[in-house]
Amino acid sequence: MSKAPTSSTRARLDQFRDASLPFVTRMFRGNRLRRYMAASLVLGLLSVFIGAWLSFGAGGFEQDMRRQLDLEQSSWDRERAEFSVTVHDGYMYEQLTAERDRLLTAGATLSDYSMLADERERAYATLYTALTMGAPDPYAGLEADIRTLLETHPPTRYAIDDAQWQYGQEARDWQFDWYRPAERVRLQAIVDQQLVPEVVFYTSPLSFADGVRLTGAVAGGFVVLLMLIVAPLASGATVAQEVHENTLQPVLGTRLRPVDIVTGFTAAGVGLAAVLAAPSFLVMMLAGVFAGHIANLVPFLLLLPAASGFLVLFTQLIGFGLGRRWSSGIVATLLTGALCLLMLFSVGVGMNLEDDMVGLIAMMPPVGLVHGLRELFVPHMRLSAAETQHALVIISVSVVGFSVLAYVMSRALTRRIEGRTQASITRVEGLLAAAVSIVLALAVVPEFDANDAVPAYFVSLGLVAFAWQLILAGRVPVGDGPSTLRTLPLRNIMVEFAAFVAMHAGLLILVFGPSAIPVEPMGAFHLLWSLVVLALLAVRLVALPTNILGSLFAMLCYGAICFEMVCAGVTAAAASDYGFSPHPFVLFEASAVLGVLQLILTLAIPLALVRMLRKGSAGVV
Amino acid sequence: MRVELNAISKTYDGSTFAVRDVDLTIPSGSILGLIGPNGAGKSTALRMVATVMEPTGGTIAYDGQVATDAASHQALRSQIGFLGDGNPLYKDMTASEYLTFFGQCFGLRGPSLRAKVDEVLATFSLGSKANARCKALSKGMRQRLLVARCLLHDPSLLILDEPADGLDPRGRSDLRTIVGQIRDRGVTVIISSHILRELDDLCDQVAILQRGTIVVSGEVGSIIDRYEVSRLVYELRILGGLARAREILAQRRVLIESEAEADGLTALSLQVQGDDAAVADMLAELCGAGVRVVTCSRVRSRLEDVYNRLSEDQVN
Repeated sequence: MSKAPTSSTRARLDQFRDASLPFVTRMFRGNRLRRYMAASLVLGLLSVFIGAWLSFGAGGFEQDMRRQLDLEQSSWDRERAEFSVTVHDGYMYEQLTAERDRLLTAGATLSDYSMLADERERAYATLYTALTMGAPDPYAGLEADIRTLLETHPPTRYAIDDAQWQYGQEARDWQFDWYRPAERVRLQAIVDQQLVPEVVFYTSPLSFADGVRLTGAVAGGFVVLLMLIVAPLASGATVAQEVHENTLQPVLGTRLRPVDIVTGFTAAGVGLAAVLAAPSFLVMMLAGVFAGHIANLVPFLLLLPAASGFLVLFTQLIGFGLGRRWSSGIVATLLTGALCLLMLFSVGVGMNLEDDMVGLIAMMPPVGLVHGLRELFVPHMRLSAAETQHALVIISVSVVGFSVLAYVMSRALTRRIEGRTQASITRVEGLLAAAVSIVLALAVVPEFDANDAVPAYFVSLGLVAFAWQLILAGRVPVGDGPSTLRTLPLRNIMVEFAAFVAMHAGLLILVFGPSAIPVEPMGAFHLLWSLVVLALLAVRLVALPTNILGSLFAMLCYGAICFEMVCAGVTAAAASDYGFSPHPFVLFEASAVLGVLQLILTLAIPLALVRMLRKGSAGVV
Repeated sequence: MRVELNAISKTYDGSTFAVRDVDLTIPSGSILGLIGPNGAGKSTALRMVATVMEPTGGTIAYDGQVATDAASHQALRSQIGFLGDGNPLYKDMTASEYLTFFGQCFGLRGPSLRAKVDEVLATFSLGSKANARCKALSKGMRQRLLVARCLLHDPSLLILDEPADGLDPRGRSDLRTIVGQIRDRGVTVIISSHILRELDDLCDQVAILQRGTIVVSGEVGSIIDRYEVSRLVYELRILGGLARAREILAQRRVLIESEAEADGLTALSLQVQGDDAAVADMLAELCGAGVRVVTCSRVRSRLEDVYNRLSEDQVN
């Protein structure tokens, strides 16, 4: 018996309904809902049609697709094993069948240009190669059958005496391994068919059950594309348009709170994708039930809303930021390109996920979704049971991590829409987001042993650096007022950043042990410098307006950060592996001038950033 | 709703103030006209009153309560109808859809929402355009639709920033009528415009804003009376002797604002610097010099005269 919802739950549901209703109604106004429903039906039918076509289509394209999905053997392998010629064309089938009938008639010969003649020549080559290699004892019977066959069906192209030598020449290229079952199967087929290849009219080898599974995978693919491309795109473009055309201000003047507006944008975008995806989703679920994998759909069904929610809120933030300068058309084009690239990459990786790439799911949930669909409906068994368990753990981490990040982004967007002078995220939200990003980054890093602690540290640091910059940017107070009126809590921000760095190092030590990470003074200096500049730069880019010169300076800073990070890694590795310390300012080893330049930049960049922050704000505390 | 602005200030760049130390009290159920040249800070001030912009300094009290946090601002917005400057419409929505969207944003639902939408469409003569897309409406119709949106939720404070922009004379007249009706319902209205004749006999109170500061505020009649004291305008009607009259008036430093012919008489509009004795002396001299004076009457100043007087060279 289900529990009645509590009053607070009911109030939350009411709030959600009140917030969503205007935006969802607007999305489906007029006859749009009917049009979207018609489109969704078309998509659902299309998924069934494409699934059936790919499953049972006899064309070369469908065959290639099934081959790439490991659903059937390649024609080459099949023809070799079955000693057959496969044709896709009715006319060709009739021609070859007639030829085969003539061949079966004693004394008939084949044209040199016939496919059957080619196949028969290859069969002779196989037989003579096998004889040349000499059969091991267990297969002496088969070898005797071959000799008998060759005596009764001598080759016509060469004199019998020359045949062994001629085909033996090919044997130098055509190695034959009697111990390979596939090779013996071919020999047996040639012997059984008396050197007459079968003519096979190609049909899909997939069963009805296979077809249902493939249809489920196609429908699932549609659902993923709609939830990860259409929903974020619709939401991001809507926010960009509202900001660009200044239509957000009247909405802000209504009873809706900023958080309601964010909820509304999200509900409208997700609602559109959900309506479009509904029939495809139904097809996917039915296929899952039919395939008996309904329980295995659970991770997929958990990861999908987490990934979609994260992308929807991320694109809304992008739309809010870029919409001030660019029209919604430009923003939508950029978002479409970025989302399509993400999905292309995810499909490419997810369809062929190997065990050492499973961690990618942690930072790229779409990879997990594609992989999940493939494993559910078109299993190719590349992962062992243990690796599958590992993937499930990573998916769980990803679900939790991206749900938390989506929540933090919704809070940031709410505060930005509110427009008051304040930081986009609170200290707690920042720490939460940093912790999640660290865990996700460490999950991506392939399994290292204790000796690989240094590369693991730097790889994961590189992965979280971008996320940390965004988090620090969210901690800088901004608003509609000028920067010169705002006091920058730089000390607090830097302390929080130090906590991020400590959390990351702490987790590494927890994984690899305290002795695994060497403490090398110069390496630590380079690392500290790059991290401090990274943080200052993040603060500077958000706190103060940027002009072309400022952008160039930021690029210089990023270059210097990368260089110093590499210096830190190389110095730490050199100390760890060889007990050797390079020059503190490594460019001195190339040239004194470059060394002095490095020294000057090392001092000047952080000082310049601090000076800019002091000068451009009401004060730095 | 009674609104009190206490030392409200706003700066966008940290050095120049768009609005500075504005003190204003708007009684409940009255209409305040906010007048000022472009860039005077009218829109900024109205946005702050509408709670959609944060003041740099000062407080605003609504019915005696100062709203400081987001929650109180949110609660207030249910009682405020705000038409901002340059609020565009959603071009691809129909008038009816646009109003329905905002009605839902204000919490209206179902039949009451439909009834309210129909009511405001009818009030603003947009019934025939209910299903027309906003981009297909004329500028005047769009402006009417924007104002209509502000009235959907029966606000107790209506803030209209340049609502007459784009309206034809008939539309302006209708708007004045509607605003008057809204005031009669007890709604406080703040309206900004640079077309002063529209506000002259509509507003109960007026505030003139220049360079972000209030230069004068109060009831319209009292302001006019106050500024009439030092700037008297008279209409002098004469039957003949215009050339002689011009000579005498020039000697007495009286400014002739305009000359016109009416009913066979020459009507001169005069600015006389000085008190009633100066006018009596001027008339005696004119009559003594053979100028045939028929009538001499004081012309009451209008709001526009006050504004023009105050805003000379004051455009930001």
